[in-house]
Amino acid sequence: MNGQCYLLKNWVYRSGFGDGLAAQTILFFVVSLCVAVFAIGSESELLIQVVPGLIWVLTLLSSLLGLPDLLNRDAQDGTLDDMVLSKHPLPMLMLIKIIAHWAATGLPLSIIAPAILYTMDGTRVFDPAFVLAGLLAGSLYFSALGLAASALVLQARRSFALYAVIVLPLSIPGLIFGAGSLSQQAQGLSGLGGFYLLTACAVLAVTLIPFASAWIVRMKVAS
Amino acid sequence: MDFDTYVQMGGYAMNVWGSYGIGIVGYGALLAHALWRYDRLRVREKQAAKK
Amino acid sequence: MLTKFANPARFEKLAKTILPVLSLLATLLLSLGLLDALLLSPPDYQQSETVRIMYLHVPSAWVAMATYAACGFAAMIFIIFKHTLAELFMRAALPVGALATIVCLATGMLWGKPMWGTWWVWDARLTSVLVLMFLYVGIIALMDAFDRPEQGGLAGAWLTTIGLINLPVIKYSVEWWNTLHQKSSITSFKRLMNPAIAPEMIRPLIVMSLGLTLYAAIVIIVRMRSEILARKLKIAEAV
Repeated sequence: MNGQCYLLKNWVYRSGFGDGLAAQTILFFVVSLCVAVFAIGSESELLIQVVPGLIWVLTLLSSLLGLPDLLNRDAQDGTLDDMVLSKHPLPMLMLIKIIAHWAATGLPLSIIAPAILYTMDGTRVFDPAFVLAGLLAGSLYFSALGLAASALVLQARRSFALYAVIVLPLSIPGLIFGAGSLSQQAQGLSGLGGFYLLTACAVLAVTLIPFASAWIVRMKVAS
Repeated sequence: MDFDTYVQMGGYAMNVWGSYGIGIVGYGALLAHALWRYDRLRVREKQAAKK
Repeated sequence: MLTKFANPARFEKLAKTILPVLSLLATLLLSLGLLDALLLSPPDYQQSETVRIMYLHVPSAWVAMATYAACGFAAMIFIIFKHTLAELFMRAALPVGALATIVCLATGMLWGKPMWGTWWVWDARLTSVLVLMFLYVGIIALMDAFDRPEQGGLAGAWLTTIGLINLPVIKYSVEWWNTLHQKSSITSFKRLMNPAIAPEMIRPLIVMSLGLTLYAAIVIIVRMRSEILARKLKIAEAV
């Protein structure tokens, strides 16, 4: 367990700070949001209707950013072979990969996005804690899908578009429940139903995908 | 019922005939492509056998 | 039984004998079904003539989902037993399912415009079928993205297996969520014998569904034969 804690710390550090992935993700998210807001125009009533959905879409797209490095670099420098052969169970290592990717992309965005929304939300429609909780669960779901996609795409010829093609369709349930819970809250409803379903998606993905990814990685490394 | 009123489909001619048009063109094209590809591969197989 | 037919040579033999039978049956069913759907069946008292779109829309949806289920089954066979024929089946069947999904969506839009007043709504049924189409396209793209075809087959098989989760979502989307999309009229075999809609409407629906299923089977078999031939030729040319 100690070794796994060390790996987690190391991988979070490397993906988040060593590569500057966290900084890049935050920059991408904030700049894209600003560009979109400029394009829509600053009428606050329209803005407050579209910004929650925009935040969700940008969180999803931001989660794609780190994927080309997530497993490919390990495969190139041989770390992946070590992972398959190591004494730690491979699904556990895959789970740590998900958490490392999430810590560098989903976690910072989940904190920044409610803050941005709060500044735009003049009439206090949204509960920042609710926005935060939804984004935490949703981005974890997206990171898990990202790991599955990385495992599938491993050793492919041309890959970048494939991440989008794999992750985006599978992410639609999370997107619908997550953004839907916010639009329900905007209508004065609780929005909790969508949040529960979103959390269920996240739990399902985080528990099953490490095993599936481990199986895929093991087969690909063996061949 | 005469032919003209039938073709008009109660005012929904575009929707009904459009749907069946899409279906027939789509499914027909896939079947044609599958058969064409198989024929072409058979020709190539015969050529390879001659060599 | 499965392993008996899981041999390319035996598959060829089987295909040769059943293709003529299937073709005859499919031609018969589809021509009868089209005649029934477009001419003989009565217009609906609410939806008038647009109900005729249903006889293409519902069979396409059925073929789209059944093909995905079959691909999911083949994908698991391929993952567990590494049977080449399962991979060939997936490569042959995925485009058929993708086309059926596109026809289903297109006819649904043409049906939705006069009945709901809109081409498209983002409800659960429509969205989950759209996801099915993206999944089909994604799996096809993934399978073609590898230098070694067996690696593509493996990756595609895994993505197909993961995407199976979408099928129950499509099936139950009209019951789990409130939606514009009408609930299904045929929910089980028992209901098939005692259906919620008129027998003159059930008849073309069933004939078209059977015909389109046979059509899909024929195209899949022809495409599988092509795949087998293509691999043989590739090996022969490499030698």
